[in-house]
Amino acid sequence: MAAVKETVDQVRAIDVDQYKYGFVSDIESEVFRKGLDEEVVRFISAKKNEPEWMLEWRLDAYRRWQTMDEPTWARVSYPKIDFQDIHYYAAPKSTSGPKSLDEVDPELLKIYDKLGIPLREREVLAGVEGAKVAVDAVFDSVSVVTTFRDELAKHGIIFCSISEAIREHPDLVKKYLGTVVPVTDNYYATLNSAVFSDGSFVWIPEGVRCPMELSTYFRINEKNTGQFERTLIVAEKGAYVSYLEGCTAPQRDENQLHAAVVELITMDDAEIKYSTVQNWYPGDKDGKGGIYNFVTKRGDCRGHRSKISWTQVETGSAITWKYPSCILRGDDSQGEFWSIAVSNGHQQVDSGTKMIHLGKNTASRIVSKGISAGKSQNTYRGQVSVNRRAANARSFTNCDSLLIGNKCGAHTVPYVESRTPSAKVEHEATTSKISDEQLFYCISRGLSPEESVALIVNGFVREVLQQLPMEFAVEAQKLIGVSLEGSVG
Amino acid sequence: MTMLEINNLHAEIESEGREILRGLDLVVKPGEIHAIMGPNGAGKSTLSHILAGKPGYAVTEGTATLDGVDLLELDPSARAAAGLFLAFQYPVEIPGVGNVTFLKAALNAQRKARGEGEISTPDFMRLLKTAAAKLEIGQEMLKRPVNVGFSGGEKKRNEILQMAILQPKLCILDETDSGLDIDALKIVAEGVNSLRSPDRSFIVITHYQRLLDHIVPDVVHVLAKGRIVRSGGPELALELEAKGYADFAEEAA
Amino acid sequence: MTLVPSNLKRKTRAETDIAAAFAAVGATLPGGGREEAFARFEKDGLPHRRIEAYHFTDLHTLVATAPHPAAKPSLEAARAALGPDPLPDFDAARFVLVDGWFFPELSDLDGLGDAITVGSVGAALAAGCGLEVLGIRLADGPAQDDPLIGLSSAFYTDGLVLKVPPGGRLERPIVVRQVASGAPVAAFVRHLLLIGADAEATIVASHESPDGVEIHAHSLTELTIGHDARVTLIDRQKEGDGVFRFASLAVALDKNACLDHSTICLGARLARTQVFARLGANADLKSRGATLARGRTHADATLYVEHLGHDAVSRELYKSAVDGEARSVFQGRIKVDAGAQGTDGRMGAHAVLLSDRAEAMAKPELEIFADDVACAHGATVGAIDDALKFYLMSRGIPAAETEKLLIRAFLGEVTDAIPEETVRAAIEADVEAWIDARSTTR
Repeated sequence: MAAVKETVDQVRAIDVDQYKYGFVSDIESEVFRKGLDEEVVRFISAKKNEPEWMLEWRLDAYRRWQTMDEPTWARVSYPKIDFQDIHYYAAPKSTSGPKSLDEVDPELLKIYDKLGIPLREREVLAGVEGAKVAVDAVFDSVSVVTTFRDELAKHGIIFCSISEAIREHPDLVKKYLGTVVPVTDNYYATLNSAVFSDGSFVWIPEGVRCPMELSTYFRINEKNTGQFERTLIVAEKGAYVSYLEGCTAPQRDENQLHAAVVELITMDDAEIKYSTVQNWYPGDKDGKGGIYNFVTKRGDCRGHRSKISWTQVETGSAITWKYPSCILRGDDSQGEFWSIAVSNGHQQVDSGTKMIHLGKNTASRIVSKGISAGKSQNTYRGQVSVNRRAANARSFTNCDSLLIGNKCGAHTVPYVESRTPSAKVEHEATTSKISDEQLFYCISRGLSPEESVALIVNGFVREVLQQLPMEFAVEAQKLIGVSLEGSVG
Repeated sequence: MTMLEINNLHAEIESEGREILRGLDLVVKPGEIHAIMGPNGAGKSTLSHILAGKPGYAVTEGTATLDGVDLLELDPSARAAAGLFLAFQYPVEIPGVGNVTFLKAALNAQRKARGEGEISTPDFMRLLKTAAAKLEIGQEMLKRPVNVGFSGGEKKRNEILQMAILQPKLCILDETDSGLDIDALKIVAEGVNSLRSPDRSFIVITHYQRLLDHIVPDVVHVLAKGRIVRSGGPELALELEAKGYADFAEEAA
Repeated sequence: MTLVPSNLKRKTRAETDIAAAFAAVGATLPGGGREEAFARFEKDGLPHRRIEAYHFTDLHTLVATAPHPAAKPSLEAARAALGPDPLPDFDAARFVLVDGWFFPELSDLDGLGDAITVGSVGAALAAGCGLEVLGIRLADGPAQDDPLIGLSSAFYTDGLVLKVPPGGRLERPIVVRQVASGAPVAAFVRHLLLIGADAEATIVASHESPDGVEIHAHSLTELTIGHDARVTLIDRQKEGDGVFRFASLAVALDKNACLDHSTICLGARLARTQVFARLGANADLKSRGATLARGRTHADATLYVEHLGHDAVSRELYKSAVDGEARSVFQGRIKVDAGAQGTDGRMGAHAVLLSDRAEAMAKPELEIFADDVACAHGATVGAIDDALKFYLMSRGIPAAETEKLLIRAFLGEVTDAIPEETVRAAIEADVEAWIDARSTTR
């Protein structure tokens, strides 16, 4: 019980009425005018000193985007977004490409300190933190700093901002960018392709096991700003990398748009483990403000015996529209999706995954835990599709929802499609509330109702939390507790 | 005269190409009980699977005949009709197929394959009742679908019931003792012993000597690394119990 | 603002056929509400894959043309079309429809019990009764928006009107035979069944038609079950191999009402079988289905179960055996309304693929707005388990027999639970015949 008590204490320690990361940072920024047209696209590209082909790629995306309609199939509702009322570029003024931490605006470093993200390598090295984590910090639209680059370079690993990669490693970017999420994949991905400002690029060479966790911290700071980051991770033959992503934003009354694209590629025998702890501002108790999180994440198991594993803990955002997926192209490749989605207040979550089995003996595993509280709506939407050629494919989905309170909704919408008899596809889902018996049992042992709920929820999501790297698991557990504060009547 | 004759049998797991049996020889005469013992991973269960014709294995060399019939040429049902019976280590559950229906279907299929007529329902019920009583299998168990919801001990008793009904020539018991408490073990052993006859043979595969206190073998073999490395009388089992398998792992190497 | 490619906005040949048919006969059809119903269909036309409820059953591409609505056949033609009774040993009344038209001369409606009202929709309409007078209206809710229900409501010609008064009991079950004359026509049937409080009724629907002719068999059954009433409904579909079947059941269960529903899909080139159920407090719904699909057929079972009252229980179990190049679709949605505390809902959908080109799609959905619920669904798709096959074979059962036994066992979970013994035996024989035909054609 010691561990549980500790968790509850940790949860307590956090100021529950305040979104912890809700401060606005006072940083001098360069913000381009609102609205979206070709000039904005050209501006962003020019700002990044991009080569001509990249500009053409963006313009092509922009033109296609204009012909597309916003998707409406998800179970989320929000007022129509005025795409002309958004800034598409905002950047801290002083950071036109810092070469090292010393060049980074000290105010910025303070912000990351406040967020609890160690950017100073020596602190990490000296650190009590334990594991070493290399960080790429993205502030509004640009990457401000990437740590541990030298050490990673010794292994031949490239870890830098995508802007830098476009300039320094154009061949790699050209070879892989947009090959998993094509420019016209969906409305938001196309928008992202036109105006993405920054993000991370990771390339792990053949046979290399990345010696440390890589991580990106995203922060939206500026008002009325859309954030459109683009992440591309490539693991060549036999390579391995574990990548973490964290997100926060200030408390604001208006909604802000976040439309990211993440592409993962694994070649033969390679593995990518991608973990997200998403804690964008969810809006206030009346549902005012909060981030619209419209994200396209997809991995391509291009090589045989390769593996991609998505783990996500979604606690933030006013609206989440997100389906990290795997294309299991290589024979014997594996895809995993581990998800915890917590919704409270007026949050709306429509999230899940797609597992597309193309290769022989491919395997997928989906474990989704949804927790709805307050007046929130929480939907799991998932697809398992087995192609005719995917002989002996195996897929198992387990999808559980927990309801806290009677004003929220929990929904499960799976699509199961099998086109080969040798495949075995199984799907299971349950929806229930925390049982009165369980609650009573805990309370009768001396726990408060809130502690009891925290304990039971922790048990409910344990399987997924275990997938996260240790440092993240603790943070995630805290977040879940905080997100559910006030949900027990 | 021999019941089972295995010569230089080599076999591998099809998907992995890993060789499990590496030149196994074995001769079992009618009426004999042979025990096959050996360390984990020696290939004991593989031998039983290959003799019964379980898919997923490839025989790369050697022969196996039952009463002169080439077993390896037959599909699993034809092997059963030829008189081979495997009591599974892990009997599968078959939802929707009643235990009695199944037993009758199996018996009639075998009779048909041997050119015999179908058994009459009263005859079958009499046969079933007698055999079930001996194994302490009640009506309730017979009514349920095959093995569905059965305990470990019930599943093993059900295997022996099938053996009693189907009257095979050669019975292979694959670790039938695993997961049984002493009472269940006795019931199973008595069931097997009551089926002993001069024209029926048994191969008892086990890791432990315990079962052999109740089903006394004529010959004990040690299987290690895919071959029979030593054979002897019942005393060999006691020796193994005392000394373990460490020596044999080396002998085979 | 759904993303609809322009080719989906254009009218298909079938849609043009249907519009022409309505222009020709719509105004002549009695009963009222035709225009409005047709407008509901016309809004989106034949539903395509972008319409969520038809994601796996794209009628835009599956239905090439639409035959003309059937005129009433002559009694001689109807009598000639009527094959042997599909349930000869079943002691029940017979209500016979040919091409969607009721034939009292071919029916037997004696001995149903006192105070039971039984008649035909056609006769009621001819006598000037509107649907309101009959006391039945289309169940509210999502059924109303379904384009196929719109189409049925626009074109229906005839069907069974059954009223069992409160506390009443249907003394004999009714078998509703929907027979095709063999002419390539579209038949539109609409049944109105009103089972009063604390009443009891058993109804069996039998769909029969010859092979080799494209018939569009539409049927819409509206069933209202009063509080504490108990209804058994069995639907046995053995349409010919050229038939497009569109069958919808819209049922409302008042508090404590029970419905035991079985639907067996054995034929048709395309079958879309829909159930829209609305459950009041403490209602009890059992719905089970078996689909046997082969050749190049497409069989879709779609359920929408809404728990509106508290403590209702629903159990749905649908199984399909898919052979040849056939495709089976299961869509099942359990919706729990905010007021439906104490809901207990379980849904299972299982498909076994028997050939390399067979396909199965499943979309079991939970949509939950109340917190004190226990809901679950499970779906599996796969081949017959090799371990089971081996076990049976190792006991001497030949490979072909083994497969039969396992298919039968797989479907048995559905067929064994069919309540009327005589009907169950007939359906089990259907399954047996289907399995046997399978092994002889391979």
